[in-house]
Amino acid sequence: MGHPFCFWIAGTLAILTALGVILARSPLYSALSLAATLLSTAVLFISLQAHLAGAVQVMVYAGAILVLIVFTVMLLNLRGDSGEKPLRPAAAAAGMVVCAAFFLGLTAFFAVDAPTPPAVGPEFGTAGAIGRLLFAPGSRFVYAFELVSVLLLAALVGAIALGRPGPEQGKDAAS
Amino acid sequence: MTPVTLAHYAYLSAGLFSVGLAGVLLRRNFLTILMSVELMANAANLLFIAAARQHGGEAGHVLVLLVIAVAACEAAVGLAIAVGLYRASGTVNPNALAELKG
Repeated sequence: MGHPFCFWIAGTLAILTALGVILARSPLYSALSLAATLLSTAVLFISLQAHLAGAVQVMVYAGAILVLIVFTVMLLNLRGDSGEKPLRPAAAAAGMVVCAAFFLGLTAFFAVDAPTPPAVGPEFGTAGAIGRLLFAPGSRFVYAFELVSVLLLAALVGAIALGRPGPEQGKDAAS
Repeated sequence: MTPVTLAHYAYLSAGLFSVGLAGVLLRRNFLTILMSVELMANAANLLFIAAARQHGGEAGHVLVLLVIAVAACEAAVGLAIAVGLYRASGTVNPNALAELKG
């Protein structure tokens, strides 16, 4: 299931760059680390024969969404240290304990012996196979797909409404 | 090299998710928190893909595409809120939104 070489290299890289996302002082370095995490995950996707999902991960996630984040960092001019005060030690320790407990709980839940996965054909994970699963008559995913398109429209309108300056700020700009 | 199983991918996914959770809990920068949420969505996607390979079906790949679309919506609205927060308070510290606290 996936090449061990790909798994260990890309998996280690993903964990290290994910730590970089949360440890970097500047949001710009966090965003660059996030790009590396998303690209390592795309490598894992492709090694698991999820070719379309890997391509979408690179184009939409590492491309579009990350450009949006970097654009916002630049717009807000947060390139340097953002003057974030460290948490109180007790709060930080409590947060770390919660995360460690969560990780241990998840790994206990996931400790299963999985059989060797079945061999799959060359069609597995291609755009054609996934398109048929999404849009074939009687597909289970048609309604989910349509709901996601409505959600995208709502998010578009919501982002424009939130991003516009409020009435009193508009007055300041006019005077 | 020993072969990699579903459990390996599940542990990796749990690790990525926990790192994202730590980012949400421990950071006080709205943009970093948003990026940590993206990390958690990414960990879930990895587990979907690994489970789809284990079962030899593509339903997990479809779910990953839907999760990516939802993450794009979340990023767009979240970044608009970050811009509004910066405009209102001059920082991206989410604690600046605690004005209604008694």
